[in-house]
Amino acid sequence: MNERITDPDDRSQGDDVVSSHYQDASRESVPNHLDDAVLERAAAEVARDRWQFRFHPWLRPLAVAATVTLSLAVLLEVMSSAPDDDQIIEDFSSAATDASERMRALGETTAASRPPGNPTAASGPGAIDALSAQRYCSDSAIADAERWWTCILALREEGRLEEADAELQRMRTDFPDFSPRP
Amino acid sequence: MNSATAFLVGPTAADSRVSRLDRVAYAGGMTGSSSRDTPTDAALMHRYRDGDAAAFETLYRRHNDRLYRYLLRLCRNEHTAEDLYQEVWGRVVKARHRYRPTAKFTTWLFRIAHNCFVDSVRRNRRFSAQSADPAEILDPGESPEQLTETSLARRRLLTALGDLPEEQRDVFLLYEEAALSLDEIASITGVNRETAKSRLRYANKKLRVALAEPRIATTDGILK
Repeated sequence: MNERITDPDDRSQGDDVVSSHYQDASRESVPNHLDDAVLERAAAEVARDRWQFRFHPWLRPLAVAATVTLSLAVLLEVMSSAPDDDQIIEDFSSAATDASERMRALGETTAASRPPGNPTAASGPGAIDALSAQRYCSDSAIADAERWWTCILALREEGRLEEADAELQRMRTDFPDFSPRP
Repeated sequence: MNSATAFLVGPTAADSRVSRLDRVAYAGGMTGSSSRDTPTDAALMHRYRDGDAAAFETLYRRHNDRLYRYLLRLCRNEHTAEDLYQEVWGRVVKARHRYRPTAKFTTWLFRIAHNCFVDSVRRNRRFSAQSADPAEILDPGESPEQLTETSLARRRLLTALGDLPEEQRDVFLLYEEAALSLDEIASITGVNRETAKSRLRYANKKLRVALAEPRIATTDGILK
């Protein structure tokens, strides 16, 4: 028997009547489409694990070997077709001029299309998606759920709510059962 | 059954005895302790982690309906509840390699569900200010004449449950649906035991009043 039911201090007379009525009334089942969706996802994750496990033993050595081979090939190609110094200086100078002109043109275009007010601020739900790739808490903070939560609270206190939400989403993935201490 | 009525309408001829026994088994039976024939939740979770999808299905079938009802009544909106339900199981699946049986699986599962709900409320408050329409919780399908006193009492109870403050509703549902102890509920909701106990007491008191005082049924089927 569950200890909660036998603790007389925690229950008043009549609570069992409420409980009984609630249990009789609350009998809904999960819709089939939800069952299917969850079970399919769970099975897919297991299948993905199996695939990774099967290929893992030789995937890493293969990647290392491919990287070494490609690096050697590029090195040999560079050594065999190295241009003389004057040619290098001329190419560099030309490339620098082109880049400078492109940067200037880009700056003018951006300035012309920028709306008045606060042009760089983002807001609304879409902003979280845009922010989701960035990190706002340090690596040491995210190693531990308590420290991560402290970082999120600090972001909230600074008024950086969207950044805090982005970090919270990440934290929920790594520590889904974390609850702050009362 | 549509989204507006899904969490109000109970069974018309429920076997209450079976229901109560079922919940007692859920609270202290196979989910927390091991027997020769039934693997514990933790064992099933570990088997799933090791690649046994059938173990996950067994585990899932033990908890799916209770988790669904918890979210359904907590959210008071079927679509939101379904979204959160999938999100919760998605997090369970993703966390399978990090799962450690330091607490009951039920506690872990409903803690994740509680966190998902809290996050969802925060998101909705900021961006869309979603609010529940009280009319949504009424079932227009049955006229007052068709309702027996028992089913009217259940409807009053569920309507009153929907009217409870969020914190009290959460504690009541964790107690009734997840069959958790006050200590476990306090841990999940991030409050101390006395606060959880107080919330549960207030919730029960309001629900007792709702059960004891029949509301007046008007001709349009709305209970007042």
